[in-house]
Amino acid sequence: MFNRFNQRVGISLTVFIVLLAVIGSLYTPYDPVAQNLAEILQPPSASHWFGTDQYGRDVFSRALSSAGDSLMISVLSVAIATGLGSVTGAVCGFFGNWVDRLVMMLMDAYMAFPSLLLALAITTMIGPRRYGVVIALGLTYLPTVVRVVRSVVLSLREKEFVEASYALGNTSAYTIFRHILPNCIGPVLMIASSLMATALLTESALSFLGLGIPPPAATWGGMLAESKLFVGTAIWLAVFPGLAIIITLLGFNLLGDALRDRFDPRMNL
Amino acid sequence: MKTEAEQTIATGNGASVALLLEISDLNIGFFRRDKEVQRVVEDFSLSLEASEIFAVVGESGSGKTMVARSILNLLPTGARICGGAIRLHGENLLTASPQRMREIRGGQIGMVFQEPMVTLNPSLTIGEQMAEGLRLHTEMSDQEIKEQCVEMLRRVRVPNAEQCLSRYPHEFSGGMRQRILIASVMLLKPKLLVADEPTTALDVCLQAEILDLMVELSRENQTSVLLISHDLGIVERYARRVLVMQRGRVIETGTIRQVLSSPQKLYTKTLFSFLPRRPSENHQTVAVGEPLLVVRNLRVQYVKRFWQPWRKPSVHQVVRQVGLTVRTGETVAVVGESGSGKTTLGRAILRLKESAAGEILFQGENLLTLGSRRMRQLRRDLQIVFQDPASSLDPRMRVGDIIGEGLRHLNLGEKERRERVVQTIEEVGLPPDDARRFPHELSGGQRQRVAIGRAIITRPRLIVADEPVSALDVTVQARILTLLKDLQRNYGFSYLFITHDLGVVEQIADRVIVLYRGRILESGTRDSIFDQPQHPYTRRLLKAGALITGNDQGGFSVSARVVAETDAPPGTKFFDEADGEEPVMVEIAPEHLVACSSDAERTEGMKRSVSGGVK
Amino acid sequence: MIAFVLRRLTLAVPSLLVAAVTIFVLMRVVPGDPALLFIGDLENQQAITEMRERLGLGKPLAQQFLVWLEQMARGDLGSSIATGEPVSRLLLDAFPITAQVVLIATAVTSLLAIPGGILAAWRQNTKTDAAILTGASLSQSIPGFWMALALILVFGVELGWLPTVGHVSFADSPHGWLRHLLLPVAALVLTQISTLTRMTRSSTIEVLRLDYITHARAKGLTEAAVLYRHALRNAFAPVLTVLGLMLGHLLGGVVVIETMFALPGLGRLLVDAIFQRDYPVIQGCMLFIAVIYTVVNLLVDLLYPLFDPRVRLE
Repeated sequence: MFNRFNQRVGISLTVFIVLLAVIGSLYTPYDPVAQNLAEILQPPSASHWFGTDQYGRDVFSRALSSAGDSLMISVLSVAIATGLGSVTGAVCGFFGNWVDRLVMMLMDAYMAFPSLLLALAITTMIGPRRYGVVIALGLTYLPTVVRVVRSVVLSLREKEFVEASYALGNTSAYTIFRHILPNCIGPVLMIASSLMATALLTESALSFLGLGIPPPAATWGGMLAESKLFVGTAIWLAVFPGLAIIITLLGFNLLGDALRDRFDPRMNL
Repeated sequence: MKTEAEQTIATGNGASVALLLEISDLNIGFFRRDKEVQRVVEDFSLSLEASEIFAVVGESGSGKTMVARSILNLLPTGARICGGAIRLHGENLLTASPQRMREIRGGQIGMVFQEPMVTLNPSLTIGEQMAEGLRLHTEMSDQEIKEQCVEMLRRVRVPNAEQCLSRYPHEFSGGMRQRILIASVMLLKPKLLVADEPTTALDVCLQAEILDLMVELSRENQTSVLLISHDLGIVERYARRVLVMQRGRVIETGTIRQVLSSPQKLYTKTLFSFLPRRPSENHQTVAVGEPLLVVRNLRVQYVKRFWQPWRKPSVHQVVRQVGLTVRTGETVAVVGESGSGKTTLGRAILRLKESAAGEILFQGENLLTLGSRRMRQLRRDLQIVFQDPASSLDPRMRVGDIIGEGLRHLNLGEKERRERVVQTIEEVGLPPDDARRFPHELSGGQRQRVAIGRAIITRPRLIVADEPVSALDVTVQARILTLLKDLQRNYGFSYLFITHDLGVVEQIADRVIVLYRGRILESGTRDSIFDQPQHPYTRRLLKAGALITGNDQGGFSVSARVVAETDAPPGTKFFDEADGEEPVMVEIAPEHLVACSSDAERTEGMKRSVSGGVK
Repeated sequence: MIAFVLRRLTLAVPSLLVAAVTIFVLMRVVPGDPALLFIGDLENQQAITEMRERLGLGKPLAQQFLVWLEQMARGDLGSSIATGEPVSRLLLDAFPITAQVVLIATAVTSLLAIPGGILAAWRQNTKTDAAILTGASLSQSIPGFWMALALILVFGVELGWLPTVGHVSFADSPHGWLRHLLLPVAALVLTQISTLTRMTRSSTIEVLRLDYITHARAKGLTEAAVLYRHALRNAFAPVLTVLGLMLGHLLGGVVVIETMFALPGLGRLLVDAIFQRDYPVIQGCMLFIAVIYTVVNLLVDLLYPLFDPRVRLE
């Protein structure tokens, strides 16, 4: 019962945020980058719902327009991680030879670094580019996906329906595409949705440390970073972008849970 | 402890008997969100006398396990008792306080479960687990507890009882664990022992040993036993009275003899009539076909490599020097216990597992030396049906696609293909609409029909059937076996039928091969193996199983099989692994081969020996 | 046991080596000349050349790597370009601060999350379970720096109960030490607690369905004994793995928390070094982090058989 409710909340929140992002890319009440020095650091009011920042920009408009970038970074980086990771993981799991051992050793070495530090290092390496963060996050989560997909493939490979496929005279390639990959979709979706949350979290932390996408484009994390200086005086600068992040994360997390309930093999014994 | 109100009732013949357990009008339902979604036990009543062994039989889903668990109030989450009473010596357990219930659990009512592999806690030592109950229900000192435990372990014949206490469950085999479990339950001398399929997970030979032990101990302590089982052989052997359940209801109850010999209810009759047994019509068992598959000296091994480069990999032989022949249109059964290598043998023959040595000649071609392309072509003639249809069907494919998958490699037009799928679905006894369903929407028996459909659609010559019915209930099992036989009659397939169930073998096999730890110990026609078994192992296996015969009144009798003395010539020395020599197959009667010790070759009166195979 | 440790260590070597190569390459492909960046004066060609010389940037990559490796093997991590202090000194100063926060936070997290997870599993699908799960979902969805910000605002700024920045050593003032650690620890606990609670819950649920739990109940044991003696022991092994991964990663530096509370820990050291392109410090930190992670996981593996006797150290 609780699960059903959580699923609905998760899906609704995710849909809500995506809608906001779409709206934000088409229309905002004020120009999100237009400075208005007459109205700096105004608290929330009827005309500025979320207040204004130190340049007099409307925080609501900025939050709305940042939604797209914030989501896009998560989606793209997770797409990179799952795309590359699934193929690598599937190949490793299925063939399990020296390639597997080599790749897994690399992944293990990778895993030794906390994801934020890894992302930080890669971002520095790439330098301040618009999609630097995306690539950095994508590479950071690669090992997670590789490991999950590999272990799923390893267990699928032992399943009798895979043996049955060989018994019918099918080749390995056909068996991978017809029987193994379709059965990986569930777990991959599951891991992707929980990675979306992690990616958003890490992105906001990176932005917060000053390594996000370069201005004037902003993500919620970037807005929070700017708010640091005004914590004592203009609390709304931190509250609203923070809430936006929390709502999005909650949506992604609950969606991830719902998918896990459906696809985690351990959950339906 | 409370006063033990001894309640007595008058039985039919007027004598008064102490009543131990009385269940009346018990109802159990499954609840979701406080709403009952399914009634699993309905108006169930039973009365059990002191020192009596009472059996409850039924198929899966009959509610027998629910009844067993409700006695200790240990129902799984979601299941709730919604009416009735369970009285132990007159005390209603359903209204007992949780604390009182804990006194009764273990102390007065003990319980033995089905899966010995998961009933003992893997992270506690045997000693700790055995002591728990004693500490809870008695006032013994630690020293006394230890002595009691050791004594009990000796009693159930666990070797090295003393050291055993400090070892962990995973260090013991399934049979040993079940002994330990019984020991730890009987240690408290409960008044009632609830045994839920206590030996179903064990090999046949072990089953009898463990049950004998359990019954012996319960006699000594005047413990009554409520035996939950699906196995009539076991029930007949140990229980005095029996109760038959179906879909949560009591169908019939009475003494075992009454119920068996003249079942009153239709369900009971069908249930009994579906038990596997030798067909009454005396059909020719020696098939006349040409040899289709000839296996010679097949060896399969598992190699375990160590990480230290200087250590030699350890080699475990799973199938050793096996030879066999399957002729067109016949059914050859491979019988063996767990660990005999029978499943590996089946897979190795189809080249789903790698063989280390030997020959597999299929229609004259050696499969082991074939290129992968030719092998794939041949696979349309070589099919397999797996034990567990739940894992052998791709959960993401529809039934029609699963059945039709094998047609990819046949040159058929789209229309022909579709017709063939429809025809096959019908042949395996499924409604045409099922083609669009997914495996998880089907029952176990239906899924196995799909698996059979997938195997027969290419009209193979040989089907390896790996325990195809052992995951199924008796009635479903009987229908699937009939289906396999009918298909064989229509298409002339040969079956290599792998199983541990002698009843099934007797029912469908033309010839039988007895496998033990990777070696063939005996092979011959069905009748010769069942009527004149030679090797001590085969004889032991047969004795452990029950024999079911029909009587004139539509009833049955179940009895232990009488195994005739071996008629091997005097001086014959049968193969024994302990001798450390490889066996020699000796033809003791036409088509009947037995593994003998290699020096037996010289024994007088021996017929010519055939190395490693049926001729 | 000793053989196991040796084996694990030999297995860790290639992993660490790969990590070392990765770190090294990562640092060399960074755009921009670090020497130039550091001197910051395009005109001062001589200083730049000297700096390049000092950093060994003139030699081929492979040779640079070997020189670096050889220094590492001798325990010489080089010294900071920015301050000239030896990297090992910097690490030794920073690590204890991170370790204090992380170890205390992990202990607190375990004490809350493990009983919480067991309770949720035991009362699965009840209101208690739902409340615990909702709490976990919420804490999982709040970014660490936002959590820290909120704590600072409430307890530091509004209520003024606790200091919000800096670190006092235990030797100087036990009281001050505790007061300075409270908020960072609380922030870290709140961000880490959900993972562990969820893991404990799902692992306990799995164990609770097994027959030996019913068997334990059938012996007449109380629920508390069933949960503690039978369920927890078996449910703990997978939790331990997660705990190890968590600890291994956190000990490598909690950048956000250290930044928010101005703690001079490992994470801060690394981030500052990254901003300053202070190569020797970055390399030293990264390698140190990889080593910590490896060691923590080795310890977890050694502890594992205590909770699951089926696992043998071979």
